[in-house]
Amino acid sequence: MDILDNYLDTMFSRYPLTPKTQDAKRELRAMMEDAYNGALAAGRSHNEAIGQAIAEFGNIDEIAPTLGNAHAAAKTVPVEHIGRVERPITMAQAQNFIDAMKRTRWLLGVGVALIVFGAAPFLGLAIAYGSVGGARENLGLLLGFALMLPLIGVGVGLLVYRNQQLSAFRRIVGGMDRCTSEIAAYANALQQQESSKRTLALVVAIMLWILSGLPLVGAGIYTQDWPQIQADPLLGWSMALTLVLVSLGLLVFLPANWMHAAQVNLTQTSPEAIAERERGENSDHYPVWVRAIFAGFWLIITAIYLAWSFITGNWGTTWIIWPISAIAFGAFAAIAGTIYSSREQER
Amino acid sequence: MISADALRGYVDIMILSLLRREPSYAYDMAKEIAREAEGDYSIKQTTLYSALKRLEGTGHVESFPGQSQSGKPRTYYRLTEAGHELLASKCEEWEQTKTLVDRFAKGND
Repeated sequence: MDILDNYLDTMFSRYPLTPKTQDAKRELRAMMEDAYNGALAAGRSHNEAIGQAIAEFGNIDEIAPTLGNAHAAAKTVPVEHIGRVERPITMAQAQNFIDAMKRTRWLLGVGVALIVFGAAPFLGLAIAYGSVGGARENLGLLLGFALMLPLIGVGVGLLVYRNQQLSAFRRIVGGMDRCTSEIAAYANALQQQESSKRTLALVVAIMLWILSGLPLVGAGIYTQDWPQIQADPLLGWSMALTLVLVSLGLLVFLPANWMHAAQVNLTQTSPEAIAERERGENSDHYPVWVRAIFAGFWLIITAIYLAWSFITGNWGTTWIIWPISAIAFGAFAAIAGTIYSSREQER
Repeated sequence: MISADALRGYVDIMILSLLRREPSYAYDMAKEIAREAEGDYSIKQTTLYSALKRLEGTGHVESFPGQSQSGKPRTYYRLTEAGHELLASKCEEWEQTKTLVDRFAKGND
């Protein structure tokens, strides 16, 4: 129930402490508590009940007239940022945006899944008939192409339609309007309500994505000693099955992620998010030798690549330096970030 | 779901008519409104609170301490004489509004 108190404290933070505002806070606290208990009695979980109580709260500015002259002294501080005043996101806009994200979540999921799934017939048939040659191979490629285009077309169409539905909120999505602490509290509380559903969807999707490696790798091992022309159809089918599993995972996860995505979009301009981004980009907390490696790594790798290739002439093998150094750099950056950010927090 | 904008100004009729049946407290009234509306409308807590306070300020409603169904202390509200009169005049006004707007709306089927 702390969360309800915190939520009300945030909502009332703009209003000065007077008997009238204290009264209002107490009454609304009682209403939220009743709503919470009502949701519990109707069989909702704790998180869902909290979310329902918050969803039924409404707009804090509506009660301003009842606070008498208290609301005239409400502290609305416009933020001066590089000489221009940023507009805050209003509660009504935030609620509409959240509604829109919820409404369009299946457009996103089905759209992206169709695009990935659309590649399956083409790649599958291309592999299956890859070494057959002649008319059969061309027919296979043509059929795969003919199946792929409408699937991808519909997928892209769905994404474009969703984009149009969300076009009214480009200021929120683009981080142009400022996120207030009330909006942040509201979005965080709603996200908590949805988080268990999202986590379940993520777990199922990850299992599907792990499984997706199985068909192709399994078929590859199984058909190792087979003649090419016998193995290819099986490999083609397993490629298709891999893509089907990947797109299924996307279909499961993306729609369930709507509130999390909405919350990230809404809070990207909150003071906390900005501070965290600046901390991540600011590499002053790394020691000198780490910063030197970050700066010079790719130049050195390029020099090594060119030297090695020109000397040995083996351009066909020297390309391997790129994936290897990308992985090495990624690992180095991750480890350095973990070691040195925890050191900084200890300071 | 009818938007809150469309119902601005009619929330008072809902509250006054509920309180005419019996005195009640905020959450109970919100539940009743949702039940009566059969899914077409649910009132926000801030809307209900500001309406109740406004009606209390104009003397149409008065508050007294009571207990919720679970025994917790809650503020109860009941209609005053003025409140009864206001409800009657608001209902008549609604009938007149309905008739007027229907003259324009009915021709557009």
